[in-house]
Parts: sequence; structure tokens; C-alpha cells
Amino acid sequence: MTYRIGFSLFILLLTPVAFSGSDTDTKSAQAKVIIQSALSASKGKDLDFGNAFAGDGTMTVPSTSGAQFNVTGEPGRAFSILLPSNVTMATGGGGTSASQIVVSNFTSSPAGSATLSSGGTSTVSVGATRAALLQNQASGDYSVTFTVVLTYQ
Amino acid sequence: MKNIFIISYLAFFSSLPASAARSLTLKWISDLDFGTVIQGDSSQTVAPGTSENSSNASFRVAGARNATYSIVLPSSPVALSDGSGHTVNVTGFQSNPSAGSSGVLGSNGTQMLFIGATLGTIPLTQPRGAYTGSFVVTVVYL
Repeated sequence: MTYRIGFSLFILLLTPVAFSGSDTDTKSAQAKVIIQSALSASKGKDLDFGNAFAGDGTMTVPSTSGAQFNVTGEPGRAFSILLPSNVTMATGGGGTSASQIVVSNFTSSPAGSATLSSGGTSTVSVGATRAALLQNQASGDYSVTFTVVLTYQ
Repeated sequence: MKNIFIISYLAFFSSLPASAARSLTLKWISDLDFGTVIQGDSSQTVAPGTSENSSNASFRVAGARNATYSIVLPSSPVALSDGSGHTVNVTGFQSNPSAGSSGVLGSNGTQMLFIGATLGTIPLTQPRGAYTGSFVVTVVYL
């Protein structure tokens, strides 16, 4: 009788210890990322200095009536606007100074930076100043491509 | 007779591996966070690192003092979803200690486990949004 009681106690004591240990555990974690819209712009309108005559003085197109870029991107996010310092328009190959016109003093509206609307859109307008025309300025259509760089801030 | 039981008990107990005496447990500390990316961004990797930071996932492993254990990380891509049917994949899970070797618990019976992975290139057409997914980590006594 004494033996039986002792043995039962032994089992009771041992069982919880032997089965309490686990050799392995598994847990999960989250992986996450926020994906924002890419910044993209398309030209809506070119910068046009209109018509002029040889010998005419400088002419400035204000940014508000200049080139226009339609911008799309992440709603509410700000971006910076980088303008060229100067570019040179040319006609007929532009081999001589009389067939070139420098465009400088670029300005933008908004200036420096802008913020995309809650719909993820924005408009950037760009103006500049055309140099005075030479007395012997070659007649013709003058053009050049300029680049505006928009970068998320 | 009583002494025999006590001796048997002690003999049995001491013959159990350390692992049976103390469970191996994982405690979640932080998630794997790739932060903010832009559509079209190239693939980005979060390194497991050597300490908890704002990007890596971390767990505390606890068990028997000085015990060794192996680490099992996801071997197939884990999809993060925006909840609207769009997904991006995370692959290349790595850990420190590495899954290829074994972890060793310290004299206090714990060790930190850090996990990194690689987020694939984001297509320009990937819808914007917050993407999440869960992945599973397993530790096993050696």
C-alpha cells in the first residue's frame, strides 16, 4: 500500500515537468511598405516669345503666361523645381551669333517648390527672358528644347 | 522506500535534455519595415543588422542557458497586399544569427534574433498604398 501511494505521487510530480518543455516555437511578424505615386510631368504648353524684329530689345515672358507642365504624383507631397540657367535658341543650324538667341532668367510659378493637391496633381508654369536681338539677326523660326527637373523633397 | 523514489526522480530529471526543462520561446519585438518607396523604385534590401532598428524585424529567443537552436525563415516569397488585390513580393529572408548556422542562447538563456529581407522592384504601374503581409519564423532546439 505504501508503495502504491509513493508511486502515484512520483508520477504526478514528474508528469508536469516532463511535458512542460517545448523544443520549438513559431511566431509571425509583419512586413510592410508604403508605395507612393511616381512624380510625372507632361508639357501642356511651350514657352513662346512670339514675333520680333532684328534690333528689338529684351523680352520677358512672365512665368504665369509661359510654358506649362501638368504634374502628377503622390497627393500632398512636395517637390522642388529646378530650372535651366540659360539656353540658346537657334535657326538654320545656328552656326553664327546672328542665328542664335540666348534665353535666360528662367522663373517658375510656383517658384522653387510646389505641393501636389489631394488629387495628386499640380501645374508648374515657366517664364524666361529673351536676349536683345542683333541688328543683323537672321530672320527665321528660333527654337530650343529646355528641361525642367522636378524632384520629390 | 521513499528515498528510492526521490533518487529515481532526480535521476530521471537530470537525464532530461536541457530543452525539456525549459521551453524555447520566441517573442516578437518589431516588424520588418521597408519604409516609403516610389513607384518604379528598384529592389531594396533591409539587412538583418546587429541591433534593433527602424527597419529590421526583431525577436527575443529564450530558453535554456547556453542552448543551441536552429532558425527557420520563409523560403518562398511573402506577398504584401494593399487589401485591394494588389501585391508586392518580399524574398531573400536573412537573419542574425544566420539561418544557415545556429543560434546560441547566452548565459541568461536569451538571444536577440534580427531579420531582414529584400523587397522586389516596384513597377511604375503598382497602385500606391500601404502594403502589409505576415511571415513566420521558427526556432528549434538542436
